[in-house]
Amino acid sequence: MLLKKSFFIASMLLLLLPILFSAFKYSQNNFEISDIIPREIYTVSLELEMSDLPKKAVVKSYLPESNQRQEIRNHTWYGDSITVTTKKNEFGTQIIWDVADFNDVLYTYEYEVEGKYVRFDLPLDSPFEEHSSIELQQFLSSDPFIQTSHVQIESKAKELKKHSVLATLRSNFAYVKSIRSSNTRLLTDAVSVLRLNRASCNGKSRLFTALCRAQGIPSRVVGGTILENVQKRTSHLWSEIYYGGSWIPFDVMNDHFAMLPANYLQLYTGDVYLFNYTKDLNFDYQFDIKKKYQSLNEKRIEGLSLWPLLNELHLPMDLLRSLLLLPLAALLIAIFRNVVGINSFGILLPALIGLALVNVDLVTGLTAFGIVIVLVALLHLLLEKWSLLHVPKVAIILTSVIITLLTFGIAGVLLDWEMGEMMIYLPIVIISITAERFAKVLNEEDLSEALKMLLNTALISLLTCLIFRSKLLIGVFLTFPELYLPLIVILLFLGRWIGMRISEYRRFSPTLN
Amino acid sequence: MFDKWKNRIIGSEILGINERNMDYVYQLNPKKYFTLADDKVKCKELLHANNIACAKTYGVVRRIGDISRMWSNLNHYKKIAIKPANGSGGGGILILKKNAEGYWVSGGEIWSEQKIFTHMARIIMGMYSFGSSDHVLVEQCIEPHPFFAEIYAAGVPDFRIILIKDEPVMSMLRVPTDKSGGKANLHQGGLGIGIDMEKGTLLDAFDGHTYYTHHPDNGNSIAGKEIPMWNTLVALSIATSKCFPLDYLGIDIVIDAELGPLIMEINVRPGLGIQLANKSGLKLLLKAKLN
Repeated sequence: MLLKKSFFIASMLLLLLPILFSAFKYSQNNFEISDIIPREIYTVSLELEMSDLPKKAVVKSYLPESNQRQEIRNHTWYGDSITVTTKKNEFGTQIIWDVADFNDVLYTYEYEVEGKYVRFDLPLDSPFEEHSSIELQQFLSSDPFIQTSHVQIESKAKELKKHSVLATLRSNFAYVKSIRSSNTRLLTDAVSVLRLNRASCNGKSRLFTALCRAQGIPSRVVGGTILENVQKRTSHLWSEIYYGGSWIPFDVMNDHFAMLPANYLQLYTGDVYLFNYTKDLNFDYQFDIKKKYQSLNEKRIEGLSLWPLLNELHLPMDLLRSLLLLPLAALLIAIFRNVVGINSFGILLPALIGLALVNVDLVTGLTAFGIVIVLVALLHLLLEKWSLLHVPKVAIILTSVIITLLTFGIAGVLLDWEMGEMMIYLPIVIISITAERFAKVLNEEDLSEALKMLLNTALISLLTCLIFRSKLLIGVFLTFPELYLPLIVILLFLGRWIGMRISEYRRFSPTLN
Repeated sequence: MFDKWKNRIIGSEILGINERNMDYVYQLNPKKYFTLADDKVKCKELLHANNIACAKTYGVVRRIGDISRMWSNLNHYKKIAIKPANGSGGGGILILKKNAEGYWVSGGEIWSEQKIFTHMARIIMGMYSFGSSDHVLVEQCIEPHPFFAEIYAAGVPDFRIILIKDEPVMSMLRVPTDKSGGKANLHQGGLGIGIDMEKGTLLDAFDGHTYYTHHPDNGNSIAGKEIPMWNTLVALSIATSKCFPLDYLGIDIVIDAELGPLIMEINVRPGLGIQLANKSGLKLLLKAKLN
């Protein structure tokens, strides 16, 4: 009894004190719940290289502007012998570098970008709008490379036009999407795309824009780059249409209809070149892009918190999520096993599977997992018949998992089959263990029991995966790490929980009634 | 205060896995003694030392090099059972009988010495005990009492008695069916038959879905049937329980045609399906003995 009382008091203290502390911290710091979500921030360094300088050289490009879907901050630059001026024009903010030096010049312009995913829902029966304003006329008329009034464009536009704006956009989108993609960096105009029936992003965007304009929907192309954790020279072109008072993005090349992911950096609007430079100048550039996560404002969350791990150490997200959220996944598994009574293969195995599926599409990932496990388990059954010793058998299983993954991987590459390609990244050891457990149940029980366990494992893996995917939960534990103590208390109570498991009510229902 | 709360949630008389583990297995069975029950060789050593009726041990093989020497001591028997000491789910058990020509036969097939030796070597190398090395137990082969054939002719049916602090609280008889393929485990399709422990008679049989008064495969009557040597059987279970430093046990007993009740196996985490076979919960029975 004494033990129980001390257990009770200790657990209540561990449960309540951290929660009170968290509440205190919350009240002391002025932040919204959305502020604790780690933010994806890209540092973009535009590196310029100039050599064979003529007496005086000028390079012009565009700097991104903050708008509803992107916030640009912390501009810095380094490099000398250069005069920098910025100037707004109709396409964006132009930056002009005047170079007066005969030496080679290296110059870096750096800024931080935080993007936002945007998505527009156009009403189904959206009527065509009348546009009489002068400002919009330029987005309806022909351009050198967006030849709206060309007879071929006009007839194609007429053919694709439907009763509503949404239906028209869909048919334009589907048509342009069906054109073969190429990676050419050559400039392709709208009419050439029709003629060649193949195009890169710039050709597809121009054709989409030309078709929309010809149908009376104001449209323009937008230039920028896709933010990834790489060094790259490629810029990207997509389209926007004007409807209901706002510009709505479309990227046919990457299949974004009326939406844009957060990692699209817009540099300018309109069909212009990203770089202009003095003739004969030997000029090169690249974007060096680095992705990191941090709080909205580093100083905002004070008191004991784990934010420095992100803000200063810049721990990678995948490491952070397994560090911070594995305890929560383990709690979920404990509840499933001891309270619900659902058994899976292995105890922490579903959490590891969930972690492995964090960065892939869930349905594809789980299907791929299931296929490999069933295949390997069948092989396992065969090995069982031949009565092999345990360790060589495990080694064979491991090897066959690898052969299976490699086969799917190469088939994926050759047949352009996405799921196959993805399978090469599945975790080998986790699959081997799961397949072994599956085969064991298949051997000792029967197929239906083994499949049931496999489904249970998939279900729990899926739920743990959702936990691991939550940036909000990562933010919660970064901000309030003291909440691990109440989590342990819940586990302590689960550890002393002697109630019937929910599944046992069913099992014993013949005697319960 | 805790208990009142507990009862409100738990309510029923059925014992669940959580409660079995927490309040009985962990409380009454010290983990260091689990091996006395789990390891068949150790278990039999203890049984023999206490003169408890069980199948005779013909031999134990601990090293591959000892197989052929041990075999020369075994060759004169007519029937033997070869088992892994730490096998699970009946894997690796080999029943051998000599035919008229003096060859060893199992499952209608002749087993050469070479083949038998290989089987023993596999057991020792851990084929049936998940990689860790194991010992071979060779023992007397049970001939089931004719009573069992009155219910179902094939396989070896056995009794399971649950004891707490050396007192029997619930029991059942497990009988194979056509579906269970000679095995008598409830979850493999066998029948669990409840037992009236006062009278020593059988109750209804349960196959995981339905209750029967007769065997579903052959119509032989079950309910009300009297168990031969029931009192000896119960006394044997109590005597066995007293030799083990474990206070919550499931003891498996068979009745041999000549030798009567024999201990087959001791379980430190006995399953809960016995409650279904008896249509009643273990919880109150166990609690009464605990206090």
